[in-house]
This record gives sequence, C-alpha cells and structure tokens, in this order.
Amino acid sequence: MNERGMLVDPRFDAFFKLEQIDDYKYDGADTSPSTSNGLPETSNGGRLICDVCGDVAFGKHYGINACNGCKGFFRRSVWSRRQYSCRFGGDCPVVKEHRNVCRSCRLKKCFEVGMNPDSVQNERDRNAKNGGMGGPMSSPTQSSLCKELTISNGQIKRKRLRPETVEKTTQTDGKLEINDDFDFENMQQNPTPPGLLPLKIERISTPPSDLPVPMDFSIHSAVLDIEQKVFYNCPVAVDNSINATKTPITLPFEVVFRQPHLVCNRYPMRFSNTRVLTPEDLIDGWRRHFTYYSDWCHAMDEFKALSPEDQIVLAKKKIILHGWLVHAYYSYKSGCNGICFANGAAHLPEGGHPSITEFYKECMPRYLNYVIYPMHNFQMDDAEMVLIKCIMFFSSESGLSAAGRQIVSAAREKYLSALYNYGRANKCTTSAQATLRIAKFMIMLSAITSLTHLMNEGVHVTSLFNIIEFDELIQATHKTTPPQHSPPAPMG
Amino acid sequence: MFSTLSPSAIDDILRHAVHFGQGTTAIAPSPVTFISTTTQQSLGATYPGVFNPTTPTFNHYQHQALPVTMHTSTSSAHHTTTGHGRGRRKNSTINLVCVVCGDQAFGKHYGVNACNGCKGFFRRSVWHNRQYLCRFEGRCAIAKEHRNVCRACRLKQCFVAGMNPRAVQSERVEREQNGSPNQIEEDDYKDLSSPDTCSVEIQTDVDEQKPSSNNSAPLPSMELEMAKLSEQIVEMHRAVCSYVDPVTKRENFDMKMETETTKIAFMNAFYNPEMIGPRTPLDITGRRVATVKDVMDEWKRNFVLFSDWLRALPEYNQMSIEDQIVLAKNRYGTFHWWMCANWTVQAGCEGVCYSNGAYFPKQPEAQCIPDVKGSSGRMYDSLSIPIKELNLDETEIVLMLAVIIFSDEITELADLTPAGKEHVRMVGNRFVRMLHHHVNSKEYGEAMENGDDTQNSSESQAAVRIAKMMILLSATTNLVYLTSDNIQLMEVLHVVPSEYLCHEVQFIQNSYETP
Repeated sequence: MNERGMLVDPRFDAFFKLEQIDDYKYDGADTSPSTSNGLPETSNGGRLICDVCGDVAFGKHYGINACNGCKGFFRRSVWSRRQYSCRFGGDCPVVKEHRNVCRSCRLKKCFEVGMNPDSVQNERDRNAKNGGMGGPMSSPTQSSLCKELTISNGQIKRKRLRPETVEKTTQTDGKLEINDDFDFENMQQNPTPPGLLPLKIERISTPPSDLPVPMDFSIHSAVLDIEQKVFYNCPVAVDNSINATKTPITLPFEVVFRQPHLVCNRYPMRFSNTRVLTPEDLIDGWRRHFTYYSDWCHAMDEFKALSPEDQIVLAKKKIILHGWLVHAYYSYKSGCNGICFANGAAHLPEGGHPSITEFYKECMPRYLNYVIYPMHNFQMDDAEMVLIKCIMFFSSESGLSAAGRQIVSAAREKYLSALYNYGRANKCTTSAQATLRIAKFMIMLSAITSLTHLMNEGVHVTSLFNIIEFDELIQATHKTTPPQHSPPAPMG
Repeated sequence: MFSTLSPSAIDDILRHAVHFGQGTTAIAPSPVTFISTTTQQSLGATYPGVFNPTTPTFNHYQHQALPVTMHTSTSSAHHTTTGHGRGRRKNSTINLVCVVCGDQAFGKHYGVNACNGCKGFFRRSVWHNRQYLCRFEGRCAIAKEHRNVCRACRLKQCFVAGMNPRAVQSERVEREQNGSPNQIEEDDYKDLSSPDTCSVEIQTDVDEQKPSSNNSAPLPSMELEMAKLSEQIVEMHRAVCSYVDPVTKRENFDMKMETETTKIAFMNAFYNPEMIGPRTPLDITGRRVATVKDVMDEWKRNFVLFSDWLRALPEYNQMSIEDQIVLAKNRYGTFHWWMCANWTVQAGCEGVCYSNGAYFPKQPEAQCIPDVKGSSGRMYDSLSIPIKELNLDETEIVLMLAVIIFSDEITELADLTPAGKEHVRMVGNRFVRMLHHHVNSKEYGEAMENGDDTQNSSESQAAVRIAKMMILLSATTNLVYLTSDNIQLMEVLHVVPSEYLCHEVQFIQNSYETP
C-alpha cells in the first residue's frame, strides 16, 4: 500500500487511459448520434468538444470551442488579471475530471489553444466582436497534434495584430462588416494561418478619409477684419469738423471717390450722443462717412476685381444705403435712441435742432420701427452687420457691365451663404429659425431703400428752399438720375 | 450529516450514482459503455437540474475507471459485500465506508472513499502544509471513535490510503471556512445561472445586426398644413388670374367711362373694380410696343387684378375695413412691379411686359412716354434678370406676393390700428415660414437622391434662395419711389395730351401716393 501511494507511474498510466477514452468517445460519436435535443450539432455531424479540457462545448467562445466551465474560468481570469503559479511541475493534465486541480496550467492551456483575451468584453463596456477560427478541431492524433501546434502559432501571431484591428473596427461599423466578410472568405480560400498576415496588414493600413472644413465659416472673420481696419484707420487725431464744413466741395463724385481725403480727414469716428446734431455736424458727418465708405470699398477684393467704370456705378448707387445701415447699427450699438454721427453728435426723436427735425421728419418713424427695431429684436452683432453690408453692396444694378454683374452676383451668393452659416452656427438652433432671421434682415434692406428715397427727397427740398446749405457733392449724390441721363438734364 | 444546500443535493445524487455503478461493474464493462459514460457525465454536469434516474447508471462508469486501476483491493472488498445488486438509496449510502477511519463515506474525495471528517482534515492539512508530530510511537489506531487523538497518524493514514494532495484545490479566501467537495459541478451551475454568463453567451455567439437608419422621416402635421395652405393660395391665384368678364359688357363700360367727369374715391374703386375697367383675359406675350393707351389700360387691368387678389385672400378679409384700405393703398405699387417683372420673364421681352400683349421697352427712343427716372431699365436689370436666374416656380411667385402684402417693413403702415399691425406682422411671418418649407422641401427632395451628407448644404442653399427672393423687395421698393417721381414729372411736363387722360394721371398718382 505504501509503495503504491508513493509511485508516480499510476498517475501517468491514468493519464494515458484517459486519452484512450477520449479517442473511443470520438469514434462512438460517429456511430451513435446524440439522444439529447439540447446538444448543438455542427454541419459536420460531430459533437463539439472543448479544446481545453475535452468536455462538451456549446459553441465558440473567445475564438475556440469551449465548454461553459473553461469559458467562465477564462473570462474571470482575464477580468481579474489573475496570475497563477503551479505548485507542481507546470505540466498538469487539464481534463474534465480534474481541470480544477491547477488553475495555472488550465489558464496556460487556454492561451495555448487560442483563446483570445481581447475578445473578453469589459464588465461594463461593449467591444466589437472578432471572428476566430471556425469549425471543430481535428481528431487528436499524433499527426493532428502537429497541425494543432501550427495553428496555435498562427493564432498567436494573429493575436498581435488584433488590437490594431479592434481599434480600426470600433471607428466605423461598415468596416467591421467588411472585415468579417473578408475573414470568412480568406478562411475558406487559404486555411493556413500565415496567409492571413499580409492581408490583415493591408486592411490596417487603410487611411481614414476626413471631410474638409467648409470655407464659409471663415468668411465673416475676414470681412470683420476689413471693417475694423477701415474703421480704426485714423491718422488724424484732431477733429476739424467746424473748419471743414466751411469749404464747399465742387469736385465730382468720380474724382473724390478715388481720393477721399479731399472730402474729409480721417479723424477717429465716435458714434455717440455727446451733443445735439446741427446742420454743420450733419454735413461733416456725411463727409466723414464718405471717406469711411470709400476706404471700405477699396478694401474689398470683389470691388477691386470690377472695372473702373463698374466701380463708379456701384459705389455711387450704394453710398446712401451704406450710410443708413452703418449709422443705424452704430447708433443701436451705442445704445442711443436716435441717429448718431461719427463726430459724436446725435439727433433724437424727441427733438433737436429745428432744421434737422424738419429734415428727418419723414425718416425718423420708419428708421426707428423698421431698422432699429429689427436690430434689437434679432440682437444683430458685428459679424452680421458686415455681412449684410456686403450683401447690400454687391447687388445687380443697371449700368453694370456683363462681367461686373457676374462678379457682383457671385459675391452676393458667397456672403448670403456665409450669413446663413453664421446664424445657423451661433444664433439659431433650427434651419427654419435661421432662414426666418436672414429673410427678416433682407426685408430690412427694403426699409433702408425707402429711407434712401425719403432722404433724397429731403435733400432736394432742403436745398431748394435753402434750409441747409448742402454742397454740390451731396446734392449730386442724392439725385436718382440714371447714368445714361448724366449730365442731368435741367428740370422743366 | 446531510446539508440542505443546493450543492449538497447534487452530491447526494452523485453518491447514489456511484453506488449503482459499483454494482454493475462486474456485469459488462466495455469501451462503448465508457464513451457513453463520458457523454452523459458531461450532460449531467451541464444541466444539474434535469437529472433523470437512468443517468446515474452511466455516470458511475467514469468514476469506476480510476478505482479499478488504483485500488483493486478496495473495490473487490466492496463488491463482495454488495452481492445482491441494486437497492434503496439509503441502503446504498450506508454501504460506503471511509478508507481512513471506517466511518460512513458519502462518495469519493481526493481519489478515495472518505467521510466528511477525513476529507476536511486532509484538505486543511494540505492547504496549510501542516506537519504533525506523534507523541506516541507512530502506530496509533485510526478509528471513527478516536480519529482525532493523533493528527500525525491520521494524516499518514490518509496518504497511505491513497489520497491525492494534487486533487486539493487552491485555497480561496471567500471559501476558506466551507470548502466545496464538488467544485466542477458548482462552477458549471453558477455559470449557467449568473446573468454575466448569459450576457457573455449572447455576446460571443450572436452577430448583432446593426439596425438600418430610417432615412425617410414622417412629415409632421404642421408641415402638412403648411403644404396644404401653399396649394390653396396657388389655386386662389390661378382662379383670380382667370377671371374674365363677358365681352358684351365692354361697350357699356367704355360709354360709362366717357361720361365720367369726377374723381373716383380709392375705396369705391377698390371694392367695385368694375368701375375702373373690364376683366379682359391676361395676354402675357409682349409682342408689340406699348402705346399711351396701352399704358393706361395696363394700369387699370392690374388694379382690378390687385383688388380681386386681395379680396380673395382670407387673411386680408380678417382685417377691419379701415386697415384694409390702408394696406391696399400702400401695396399696389409693389404688387404691380412684382407681377410685371414675372410677366417679363415669362414673355422674354426686353422691357416691362404688360398684360394686354404689349410691352414698354427700356430703350428711351422707343418709349411712348418719357421714362425720366429709367424705372423700366431698372426693373429689367434689378428685378427681372434675378428672377430669371433664380428660376422661380409658381408657388414661389405667389408666396412672395403674399409676403409683399403682409411684410410691414416694405413700406410704413403708420395708419394701421395696433390690432392690424400685429395681424400683418404675424401673417407675414407665417408666409415666410410657408415659403421656407416649400423651398426646403424642393431642395431636400433633390438632396435625398444624393444621400444624407448633403442635408446641411441643401438647408443652406434653401436659406440663400429665400434670402435672394427677399432682397428683391428692395428693388420693388426702389421702383415704387421712382414711379411716383415719374408721375409727378409727367404732370409738370404736361406729357399727357388730352384732358380725359389727365384724370387718369391723377388717379394713378393717388394710388401711388407715398406717406
């Protein structure tokens, strides 16, 4: 009894007998089909066996056929990152009856037969599933043992590539599907593992396609820069408004538009309500706006692309519109309830200088209700103002050449799109709101058109009765004679 | 001695199976039987809850293989004792004895039949690597009644009897007090019942199909209503444009106009447009140059169309009479220019196309009335050409007419009542939204063919298109003021030859009045 208990041979014999039993089981499976309905069967007609311990397997788990016991054991070991150590020689037999004897050897065998730890899902996260080797293993004979080793080596090599593959597949779902189909075809055509390697590498090296950033989102920044450069271009620090208005300007629009310093010095513009507007302040503010308008036009790239004749036609038609929009916006921005001018003078709706009150009698209600009110209602900001200014400036007018009309049309399209994208990105949550916002801004331009005509009539009447002494430049600019009738015919 | 835990119940069943197996060993051991034993054993291990009486018979053979090889004497002894074959469960368990102390055994533990006491003692000794020392001569008798006297001899007897220390599982902290004798079955049972196992099985075996995204979203009811309203207003527009008075009454109207010597008030003319002129068929061809009479007739026909159009609009009729008159007086000019611009695009002539088959050319030399302000040229350049480029459809033209009527920003409506102002603003916003929905549907319908990636760009294109339409209102406002100036100049220059037409000029001026 003592000798029997201390011998190593009896365990060795038991191991060999168990192997024979496995062999008999495989033969028996072919001759006698399973009597249980719960057991799954593969297309080959054979029963699935666990590649680790030889127990009955119910499908593929972590890349191989595994029983529920080894599947759970492997999952727990990966989750807990356990490291076992064998108390015996590290070569314990892992079979169904005593697979629990040594966990170290059991886990080692799990890795040897190809269980993929990357397939083990996180306890709370979900990863993409990776395809593995398909079909049951060959019968455990000596020749198949060599194949098993080869397959194991191939699987080990594949394991190194899988982390990158997983990263790639988690980015796009479409690629995951393609990857699965690719694996399936490749397994059928080329069953040996080394054939997988170059194709896998080719799959991983596919570059991702990035969409280019839309260019519209930088247009409003560029236009805003131009506005600020022109607005703060003030080489003269002293305000000479009192002296300047005494000199009438007799040069035509075409000449002074190229040399705006002949009209007014570029003193700092301060749209504020520091004093009541007088006729002299009105004329001086008009001139300072002329210089500012000319600088702005010459700074726009689309304006430079026009021919000199088209430039004069467009500039002459748009100066009053530009003036109304700019004065309205900066008045709204400074919090004044009337019309502010660049020299710090303002005219309020409550009253002011008698001549100015008479001059703006028709304009003031429309200005407050249909220009200032929308600015308040929609909380217009600097970027929107400069874009609306460009949209208003670059519009088709009679007198433009065909080439000029094309340039103007393209510019308008560009700034309309930029205005919509800006409103959609910063102001509105839905496209319907953004569209209504831009539509209201465009309708506001119609109100500014009305103000232009009313002001033209005002300048005409005021000059006729010598209420305010406008010079020839202002009077000529406020006439609505079309270009083909210039010089204007004397009125009957 | 029995435990009420679920694993113990499994142990009980297995012990019963072992007993039956022993009884049948001598009958017919064969390789085929061994294979069946392994298969059924796995099935039993996997589904412990579905045990049936026939399964224990096969499970026994697998266990019997080891004792036959390693402990022949023990097996022979038991075989001699139980020669009578199967028996009751209680009797079967009584017949097993512990090979260490002779107590009742409930199955094999660590390779031999062992009682619960010796089983636990052996496990604890192996876990802690204990080394005991006998205080006597090392020959103490190990029997049930006094097996605890000397632990050294008890452990030596365990090894002599064949207990395998490698079969002892590793120590676990949470199971240090109550070690389980059947770890295999317990693990399988837990794996099947735990939710983690179920979820893992589903995740590892089933390939989840990604649900396809639903590209065609159902149309909300509000948008359906907007689409219906757009169709209604287009039908109204078509009906109004096709109004034609009987031809026989034309002569009477001409006679009546000749006898008219006093001015007609705007209100009477608006609500009785027959006084102005008959509803002749609209002839949008522009095949001849307009004469002075054509200009006058065109103005009358357009005024009648304007009156019919407004009074056919439900939103207009909801206003008070005073507000209706204020709105009508301020909107005729813009209505007139928008219709003429679209007719010009439709006919394709160079100038202002009228509804009586004539057109007013934009070249000054061909004009019957001097166009001092150049409004015809301006209309062609700033209104008709953009309309042609935008390629507006009928719905867009009609909705723009509605926006023109009800947008208070176009020209001031200071005379409106507060309720009228609120109504006009609300209706104007509604028409803008209807226009946005129509343009968006048209653009998005085209984008559907290209895929979802172009949805954002199609929204931007729709917004830009609507903005382009709205900015044309500035051009119409411009034309209204220029026309007013033209009429004043015609009066001053005495262009109109006869006194009969002088009344027409004053009437036109009245309708074009600006505040």
